[in-house]
Amino acid sequence: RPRLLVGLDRAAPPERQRRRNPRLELGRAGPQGGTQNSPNLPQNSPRNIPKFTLKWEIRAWSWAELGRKGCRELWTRRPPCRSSLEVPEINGLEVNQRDHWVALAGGDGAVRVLDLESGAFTHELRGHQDLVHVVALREQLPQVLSGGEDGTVRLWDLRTGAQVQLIEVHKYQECSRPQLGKWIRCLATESDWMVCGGGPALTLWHLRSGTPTTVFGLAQPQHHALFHQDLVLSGGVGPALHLLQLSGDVRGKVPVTPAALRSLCLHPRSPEHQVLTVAGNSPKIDVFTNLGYRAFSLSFT
Amino acid sequence: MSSESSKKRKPKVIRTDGAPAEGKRGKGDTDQDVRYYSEESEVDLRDPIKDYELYRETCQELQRLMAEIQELKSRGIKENASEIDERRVQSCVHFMTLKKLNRLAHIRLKKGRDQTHEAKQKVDAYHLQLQNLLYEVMHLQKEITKCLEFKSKHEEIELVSLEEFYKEAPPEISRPAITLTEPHQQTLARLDWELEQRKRLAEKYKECLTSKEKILKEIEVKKEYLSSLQPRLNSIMQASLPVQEYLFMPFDQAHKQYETARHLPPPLYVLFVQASAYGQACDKKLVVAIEGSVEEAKALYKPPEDSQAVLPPQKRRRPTLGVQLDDKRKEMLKRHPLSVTLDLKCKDDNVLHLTFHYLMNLNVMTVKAKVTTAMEMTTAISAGDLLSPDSLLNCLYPGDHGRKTPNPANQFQFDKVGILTLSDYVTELGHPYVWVQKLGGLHFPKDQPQHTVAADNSLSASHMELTVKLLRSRLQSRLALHKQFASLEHGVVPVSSECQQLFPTKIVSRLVKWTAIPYEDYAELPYTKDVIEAGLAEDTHLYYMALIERGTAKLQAAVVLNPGYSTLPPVFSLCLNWKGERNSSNDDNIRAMESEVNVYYKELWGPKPGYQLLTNQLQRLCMVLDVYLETEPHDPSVEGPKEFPQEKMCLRLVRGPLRLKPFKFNYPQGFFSHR
Repeated sequence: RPRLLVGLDRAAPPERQRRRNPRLELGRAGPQGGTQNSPNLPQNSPRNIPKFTLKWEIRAWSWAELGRKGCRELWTRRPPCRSSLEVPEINGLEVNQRDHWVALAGGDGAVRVLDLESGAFTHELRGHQDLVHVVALREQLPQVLSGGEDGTVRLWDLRTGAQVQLIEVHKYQECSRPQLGKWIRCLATESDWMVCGGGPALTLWHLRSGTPTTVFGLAQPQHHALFHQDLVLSGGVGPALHLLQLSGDVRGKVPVTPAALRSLCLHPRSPEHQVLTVAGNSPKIDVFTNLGYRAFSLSFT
Repeated sequence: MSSESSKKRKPKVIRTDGAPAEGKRGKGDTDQDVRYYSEESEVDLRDPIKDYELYRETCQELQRLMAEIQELKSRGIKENASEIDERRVQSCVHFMTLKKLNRLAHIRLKKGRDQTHEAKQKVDAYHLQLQNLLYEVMHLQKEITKCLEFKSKHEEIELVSLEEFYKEAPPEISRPAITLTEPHQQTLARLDWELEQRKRLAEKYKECLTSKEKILKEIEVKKEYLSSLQPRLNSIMQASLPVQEYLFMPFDQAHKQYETARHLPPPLYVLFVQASAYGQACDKKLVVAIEGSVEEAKALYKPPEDSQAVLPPQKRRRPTLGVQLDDKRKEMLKRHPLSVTLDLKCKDDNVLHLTFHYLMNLNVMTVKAKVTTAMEMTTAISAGDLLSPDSLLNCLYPGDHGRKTPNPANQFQFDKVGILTLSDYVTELGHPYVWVQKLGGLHFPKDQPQHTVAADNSLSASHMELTVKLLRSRLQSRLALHKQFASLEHGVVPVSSECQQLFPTKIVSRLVKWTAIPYEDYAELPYTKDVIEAGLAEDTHLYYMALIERGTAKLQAAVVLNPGYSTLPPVFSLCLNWKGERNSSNDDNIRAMESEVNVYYKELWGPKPGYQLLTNQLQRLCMVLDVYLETEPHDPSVEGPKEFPQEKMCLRLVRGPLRLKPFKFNYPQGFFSHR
């Protein structure tokens, strides 16, 4: 049964703040920031879904418990913090289901790895000059990609704990847009390919060679991108979901309710039920069953 | 009769007939006065039956003789003359016998009659006697019964019971020895005792009467004395009036007010009573008074004059339908001639004057407001609406806009005379807010229409305190805003000393314009749609536009001010014009700035009661605009230095997936950080 975890943006306009205790109709909301669809779970394995907050901690809830009232988190983890004056935030989180670890994008510029079975922070990968916005996990290989405010995408190998590759996106003429900034906000990877964007234009990269192959002509900065079948889905500033072909053509631009998209989430491992949820600067969450148009919206009560 | 006739013929008989008659009469012959027949004595001796037989025989003889005579006469006259004479003589004798017999019969009859008569007379006499006696008996019986029934007056007198009598009466009256045995004496004794007692009591009564008279006279005297006192007291009261005023104890005035209050209609009366009570008990600065004409109020309750029933002959044409309708409308909306005024004085001597009217036919109360300020206030142009009587008391309680009549029954009345809604007449009649009805004790329940809604004291009392507090705070907040607006229009954001710590010492952005805008203009702005959709901007609210500038950057802020300021904060919608138009839908940082003033307003309230919220919000907007502009990353494609060099101290410039700027000011360190 598909379930949806939703996060609320911190800086909400006053009208949202006035409605306390928002309750999502289909899923459950908590103090966090991001959407994540539940995997198709076998019945006998209770999965914990870790969520991050704009605070400096990770919390996990059990999927089985989530529907019930008064559900409390299973556990909370706080990564070690350098200075107490300014506590950084966790900006991104990716879970490796197979090996049971979580990669965290830290606001202090470090990529951390939390081992779910032991509960310890196994890696602290430093290299970024500024905060890390997003992490992406490579399949098959124990490697983590991270993109940050400093405009770089770095590839880390977890076995060695060292940075393997560095791509300075903003230095490439094809995609850099200095008037918008050099920050990398969205990052996605599939086998050897990577798509990233933000201040610079959304670009498809070939990882091994580290070269940009296709620049998608989207004027506004993109916040989130996904690989889906043969498409790249992306959303950013502007009320539209972009369907982009790998060749660079814009296959479609689907209007969405939020004024800007922040998070796209596909239901994994279910080719017959194609469900995409998008969320952004709006009290409503759009649900797509067919990528061509918005099916319905979920709203908080 | 026959005796009398025989008495008369007697002499004849004596002469003509001879022997038998004379013989019998021999004794009584001499006495001629007494006609005495011998037959009278013979009558007793002879047997009447025999006499009857004799009579019959005689008659038969006569008949025989007559027959013989007849026969003889018929034979011839000469031969029988002697026989005839003989027979004639015989018949004469028979005749005489007959006569005697007749006489006897008569006398017998007479005797019989006499005897009967005598007997009868005797019997009659006895009878009479008997009757007399019976009558007497009856009379006596009657008398006896009368006597027996006679209720002597003494029986009507309620005598004391025997025991009491014997107890109380002195022995010379009661004489128990005699009276116990003889009831007659007993009764007499009792009567004596009764008489004596009564005499005594009668005397007492007379005495009491006289004393009563005396006392009555005394009462009269005292009454006169008292009535003479009344005018003197009045004059003393009059004389004391100036003393009362001097000592600020207007008893007289209060008394007069209560007199007038009696003529108030019930809701106004409830309001008056509750407000006076509240004023005396809790709030010395609340003054209640009654205005209006008492005579008119009294005239309302008089029965209509005759002249009303009889229409004066219409010399003019009848008024047109429109005028008639107008008159009906006026009649429906008529106000009671008396009104209650409430003056709420505030600490700084500003006064809110409220005048409450009662619409008699509609059973609703309305209020008109006016503000008099202690000092002359420079009226800022944008502050025009703040203190306007029309909108001053808008939404004192949420949703109470006073445009509709709170009494659901009025709608039917309106339909009859063609009034659409009471809001058309509001400027003249005053606003029918729901809290006004509650203060007058009128409660109109929505789901159950009631026939007559009567004024309820407890409803008024329960709402009085809160309403007065709200009214005061409303006035204060409006006056504070008034002052603030005057300053804002000059481009100065007034920040009090208590609130200085919310802001850094140096803020470069300045407020250049502050104007009031109408609701339609606000609604047309593209960046206010969210606020309107969320229901935070209605036409009862006040709208303003602020313009903050720094260098080439212009920040437009559209402000919606809720009438319930400052408990309900104003809501800002921002639009920054600097290298393009940025607003909350396309720039997360502008949204963050909006949230700094809209969401975190509680920090900006300042000292109680928080009227500085608006100015602090404006100051904060200037501050965050500074931060925004200064922390913009330098665009390498543009030549030259940054337009806004960073002067604010920030720990981090970017944080979070939204890449927000640090808008939170930390005191006293003076740096900016993220929330």
